[in-house]
Amino acid sequence: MSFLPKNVRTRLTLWYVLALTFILIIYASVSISLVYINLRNNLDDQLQQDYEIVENLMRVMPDGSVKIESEDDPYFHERWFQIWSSDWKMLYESSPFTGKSLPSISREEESTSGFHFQSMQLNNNVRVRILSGKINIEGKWLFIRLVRSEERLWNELSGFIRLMLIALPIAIFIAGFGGYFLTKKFLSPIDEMTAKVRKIGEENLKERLPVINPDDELGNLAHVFNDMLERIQKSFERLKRFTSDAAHELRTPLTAIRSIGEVGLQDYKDAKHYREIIGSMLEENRRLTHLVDNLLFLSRADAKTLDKHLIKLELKSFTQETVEFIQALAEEKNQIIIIRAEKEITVIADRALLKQALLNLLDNAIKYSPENSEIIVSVDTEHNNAAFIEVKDNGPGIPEEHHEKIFERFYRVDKGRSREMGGSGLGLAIARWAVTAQGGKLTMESKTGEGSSFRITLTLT
Amino acid sequence: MNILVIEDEHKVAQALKEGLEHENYNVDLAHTGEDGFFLLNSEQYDLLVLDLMLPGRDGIEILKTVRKKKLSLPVLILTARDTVEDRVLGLDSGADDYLVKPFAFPELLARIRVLLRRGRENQTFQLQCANLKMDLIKRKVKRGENDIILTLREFDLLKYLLRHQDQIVSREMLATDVWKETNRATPIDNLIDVHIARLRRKIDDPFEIKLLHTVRGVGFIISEESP
Ligand SMILES: Nc1ncnc2c1ncn2[C@@H]1O[C@H](COP(=O)(O)OP(=O)(O)O)[C@@H](O)[C@H]1O
Ligand SMILES: [Mg+2]
Repeated sequence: MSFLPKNVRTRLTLWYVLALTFILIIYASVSISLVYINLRNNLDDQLQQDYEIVENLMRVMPDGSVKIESEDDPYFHERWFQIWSSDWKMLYESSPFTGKSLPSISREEESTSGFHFQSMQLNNNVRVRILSGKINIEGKWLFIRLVRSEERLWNELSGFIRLMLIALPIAIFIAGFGGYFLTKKFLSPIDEMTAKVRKIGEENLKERLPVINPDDELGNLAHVFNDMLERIQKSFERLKRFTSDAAHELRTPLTAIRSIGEVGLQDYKDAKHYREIIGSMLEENRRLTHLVDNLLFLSRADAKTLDKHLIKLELKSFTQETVEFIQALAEEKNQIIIIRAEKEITVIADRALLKQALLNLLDNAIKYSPENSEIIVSVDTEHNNAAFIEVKDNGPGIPEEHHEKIFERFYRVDKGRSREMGGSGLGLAIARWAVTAQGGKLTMESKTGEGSSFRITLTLT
Repeated sequence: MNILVIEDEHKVAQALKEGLEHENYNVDLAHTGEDGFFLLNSEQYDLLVLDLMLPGRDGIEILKTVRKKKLSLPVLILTARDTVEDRVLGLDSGADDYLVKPFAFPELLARIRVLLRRGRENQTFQLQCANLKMDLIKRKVKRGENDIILTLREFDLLKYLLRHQDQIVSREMLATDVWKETNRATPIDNLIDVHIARLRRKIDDPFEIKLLHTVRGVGFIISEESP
C-alpha cells in the first residue's frame, strides 16, 4: 500500500474517483452502443422503406430488362440501388454518386432468403449500408440492392462520443473535487481531535475532546477518547495521591526515629536508658519495614508478578482454620467469633492469598468493634454459582461517604485511631487485591452504628 | 569458627562483624566481590555470609565459582530482593539458606547456628530452662512441681523459645517457624504479642523468677538471667 498517498482524505477521494471513472466508462460504452444500434436500426428501416418503393415501381420488360416507373421522381436522384439478375448481370443501377462501385453479389447475399443487411467500406473510405433482397417476378429471380451512406450515422455517433469524452472528465473532475472537499469537511473533526489530543499532556489531563456530532462515528470516537482520558486522569490522580500518602506514611516513623535519637543524645544517661531508646527506635524501624513489605506486595500485585497457586480449597475448614489462627486477638477483647457454615464448599483458589484477605477482614472486625461483641463469619453459596465468606461485626460501621474509598491505599476513616492500633490503611487494599487476583470480589455493606459486613465472593467451578 | 562476610554496605558489614564477634565468631569483612574472592582463596572459613548485590563481581557469580571449586563451606545469602525467582536463583546456585533484607539480627544468628551445626544436630526430648521443663514426648510442661497446661500454639511457641534458649528470637522467626506464615505482608505481630503474653501468664506470672523476657524492638528471649 506504500504507493498510496498517506492521508486518508486524498486516498478516499482517489478511490472514489477511480470507482466513479469505472462506472462512467461502463455507462458511456453502453450508451454509445445503444446510440449506435438505434441509428443503425433507423438506417435499416429507411433502407427497407426504399426497398418497398423500388419493388413497387419496378417493371420487368419482356426483353428481360428492368425499368423503373417515374424515374424522374427526385426521390430516385438521391437513391442508389442496383438490380441484378440471377445470373449475375446488373440489370439496372441508379447511381447518383459517381465514381463509386459496389462489389458484386456475394454468396452470402445470395443464399439468404429474406433481407440481408451489411455494412461495407468502399474504396474511397465511404462507409455504406447495403440491403439486399430477392424477389421473384414471373418466375425469374432478381436481386435488389439498396445502398445508403452511413456517413450521417458515423457523424452522429462520433459527435456523441466527442460529447462523452468532454463531459466525462469534467464530471469526474467536478465529482472528485467535490468529493475531496466533502471528505475534508467530514474529516475535519478528526483534525481538530488530533490537534487537541496532541496538546494533552500530564499537566492538562482535565481537558476533553470536542464532541461535534454526538451521534455519528466521530462523535463516538471522541466519546471513547474522553472516557479514556477520564480513566487516565483518575489513575494519574490516584498515583499522585498514593505517592504523597506513601511519603507521608514513611515520614511518620522516620520522624519518630529521628526525634527519639536526637533527644536521646541530648544528655549522658545510663545504659538502661539507651537500651530503651534504641529499642524504641527499632520499633519504629519495624513499622517502616512492615510498610515497605506491604507496599512491595502491592506493587508486585500491580505488576502482576505475584505467583498464584490455584488449588482445590474447601471453604468451611479453611475458614475454621483461619479463624482459629487469629482467635487469640478476639479473645483478648472478649469477643466471640461465630462461624456459620452448613455445608462443605469447594472452590479453586490460592490458599495463601485468600488467607491473607480473610485475616485482614477478621483483623479489622476485631480491631474496630467493641469488647464483648460478636463477630459472625458465614460461609455459604449464592445463586448456585458463587460461594462467599462473610465477616459481619457489630462495630461502629462505616459512614456511606467512605464506602468505596476504604479500599484505596492508605485510606482510613479515622487516621489517628487506626494508626494507634498499628494500621497503615493498606489492609483492605491488599485484601481486595488478593481476592480479585483469583477472580473473586470483595464487597462491603455497612451503615453507621449498625456494624459492617465484608464479603469475599468466589465463583464456583 | 571463622566467618567471611562479603557485604558492600559498610555500615551493615560493620554491624554484622561486631554482632558476630560478640557471639565469639572470628569475622573477616570484604566489601567487594574481588576482595571476598581473594580471601576465600587464601584463608580457611567455616561459613560465608554473602550479599547478592555487590559492585563488580555479583554475588551469584561468586557463589557459582565457590561451588565449582567444590568448596563445601555453607553459604548464607542476604538479598534485598525477595521474589520467588530470586530465592530460587540463589538456592539453585548453591546457597544453603537466604535472608531477605532488612532481616532481624537474632534471625541471622539462628540461621548461622543451624548452618554450622548442620549434620550433628542432637535430638533431645527434654528441654529445660531453670526449673521450667518440657517433655516433648509426653507433651507436658512443668515449672518446678506445678503442671502447666498449654494450648497447641503455646506449646509450639515455648518449644521454639526453649530450643533457642539464651538467644533472642525475633517476631519474624516466630512468624515463619511457629505460625508458618511466610508472607511478610501479613502482619501478625499483634497475634504473637498476645500469645507471648498468655504464655507469660502461665509460666512466669505465678513465680518469683521470670524466664521469658521481651527485648524491646528486637524480640523475645527465654533465659534464667534477664538481658
Ligand atoms: N470492620 C470495620 N468496621 C469499621 N471500620 C472499618 C472496618 N474495617 C475497616 N474499617 C475502616 O476502613 C479503614 C481501612 O481499613 P484497612 O485498609 O484495613 O486499614 P487499617 O486497618 O490499617 O486502618 C480503617 O482505617 C477503618 O477506618
Ligand atoms: Mg486493617
